[in-house]
Amino acid sequence: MIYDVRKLQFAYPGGKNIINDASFTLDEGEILTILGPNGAGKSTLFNCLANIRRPGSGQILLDGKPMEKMSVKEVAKVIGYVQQTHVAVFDYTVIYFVMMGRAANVGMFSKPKEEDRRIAMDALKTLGIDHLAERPYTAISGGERQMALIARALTQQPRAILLDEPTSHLDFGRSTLILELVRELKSRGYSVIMTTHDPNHAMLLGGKAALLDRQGILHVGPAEEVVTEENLRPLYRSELHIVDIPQLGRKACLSAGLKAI
Amino acid sequence: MRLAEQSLPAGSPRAGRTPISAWIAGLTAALILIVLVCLCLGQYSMSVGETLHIMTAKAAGAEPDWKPMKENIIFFLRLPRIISAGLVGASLALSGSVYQGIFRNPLVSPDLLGVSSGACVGAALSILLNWDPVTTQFMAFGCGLLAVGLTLTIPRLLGSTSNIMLVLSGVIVSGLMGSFLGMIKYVADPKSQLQAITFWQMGSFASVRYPDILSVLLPMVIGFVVLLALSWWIDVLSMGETEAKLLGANFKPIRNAAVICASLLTASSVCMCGTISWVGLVIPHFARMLVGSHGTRYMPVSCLLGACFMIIVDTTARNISGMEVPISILTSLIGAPFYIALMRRRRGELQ
Repeated sequence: MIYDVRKLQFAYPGGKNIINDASFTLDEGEILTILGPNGAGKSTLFNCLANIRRPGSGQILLDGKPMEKMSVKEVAKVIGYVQQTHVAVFDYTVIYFVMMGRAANVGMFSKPKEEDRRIAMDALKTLGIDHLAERPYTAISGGERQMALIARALTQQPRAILLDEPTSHLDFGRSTLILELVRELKSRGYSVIMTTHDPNHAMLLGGKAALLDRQGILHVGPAEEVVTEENLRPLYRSELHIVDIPQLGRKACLSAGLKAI
Repeated sequence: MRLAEQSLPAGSPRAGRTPISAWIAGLTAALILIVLVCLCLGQYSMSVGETLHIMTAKAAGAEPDWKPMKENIIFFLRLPRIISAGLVGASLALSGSVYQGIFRNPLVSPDLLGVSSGACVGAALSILLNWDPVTTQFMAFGCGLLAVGLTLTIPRLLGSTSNIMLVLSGVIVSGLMGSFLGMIKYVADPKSQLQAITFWQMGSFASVRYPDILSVLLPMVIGFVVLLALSWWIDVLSMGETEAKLLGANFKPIRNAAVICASLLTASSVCMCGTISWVGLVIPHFARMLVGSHGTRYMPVSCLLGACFMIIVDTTARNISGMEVPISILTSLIGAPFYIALMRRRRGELQ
């Protein structure tokens, strides 16, 4: 078991609890999609899972060990984190940037070896961006940067990959490609946790889905049981429908808020 | 999984194809040539052949067939100046590179955390109290490090040690030191002390002798060795604190080690020759332009370029007119237009 999260609570100093009760488990090769309205604390929960924030109470067992007792190196060998955006300051080449994923394996006064370079190159090949290896990171497109960030996470050789709203800066077509990639990662045995604003993503990915409501309670279960009209309507305070699309042979979540003109 | 689209071809693959060893060999050769030429230049000029002959014969222990004065000029006037200028240039360029990486800002200089302003206060205080030059050096070194220590302590007391707190704390300490320096200058004797303080603030290698170099050699060597060994890690730190930690880097220990070593280098430089502006800001940029932004490549190049630049500037300073020109006057004169050219190149990125 990669994640065993027990009764997580979190509050910002002087504020009410953002997260009241979050518990779930995640196995190898499992996907968890986290949904929730703006401001519900999705990012906060995600940051707790990524070891960026410490929960107020409760426990996260990462690969069976309490995460708060693990060093940053130990955590980085289990979790690869893909943030929404990366602001580049210096024009490192893509391969150099991706090689930084080896940090947990490089000694204090050392630098990456040939072996580390090979691992980074493999990650670039996996994502189909090896032709960008020697290109400056500042000169590639937003979609390519997203790929480079995922490649860097793979270079950590982690067992779980955390993606924070990976589609938020991507166009329609590329968003779908990211979902395909997430499935591919799952089939390669990675556990994946992903936050998103689009319930369709949870339905397409299957696996587990989690809804974080405004009271800070996390509802976790199989995607097809959790992502339902009854659950989503109060969550988003929106009249939405989950309808069958016969042409595609699957269901889709659509808003009924606006009528066609 | 072929997911990424082809992006437009980039302007130039700047990260460089030339192996870094070639750059280092080339720049080392250039440095040796510059040293040799600068040894010959001065009020009493000599030919390169003559200088080379004196040096090799001296090294071989041969009987001198030259005027003793020439030997004195080479070994006791020019060589110590050139060695110290080289060391100072390399130190300031390297600590500038390190600060720019750690603080994710290509526009910061090694003065960011108050080391130079602290050193100025130490030196000025010592001049005010009529202490001897050796004590003045010691005071400059000590107060420079003390100021950085204070900058590192304030965020700790406030309970948040993020980079931005550290930079703000540096602003506070620099401001505080500026006010101390103002007080000292206000009460100093305008005829002798004030002049000495002002001259010291503009930097000069005129009075550097071998003992001055020896006394800062150890902190300098420590600074160079540690920072060059950390060059890859400083690039990891340039991803920002949160990201660096997620990648598995122990952010704060590495940052603090780098800041302390960079401060050692700057303090050692300042106590030897006073404050010198612009070098720590401009040389790292120049190095990045030549060999790309990878720390493992441009940091050693930055050191060599800094050394070459400083030796040339100091030789100009002692040859340009009958009297010594303070170094900072020249470095700003050269640095400012260079910086304008740099801003022009990057005007699209710096919004």
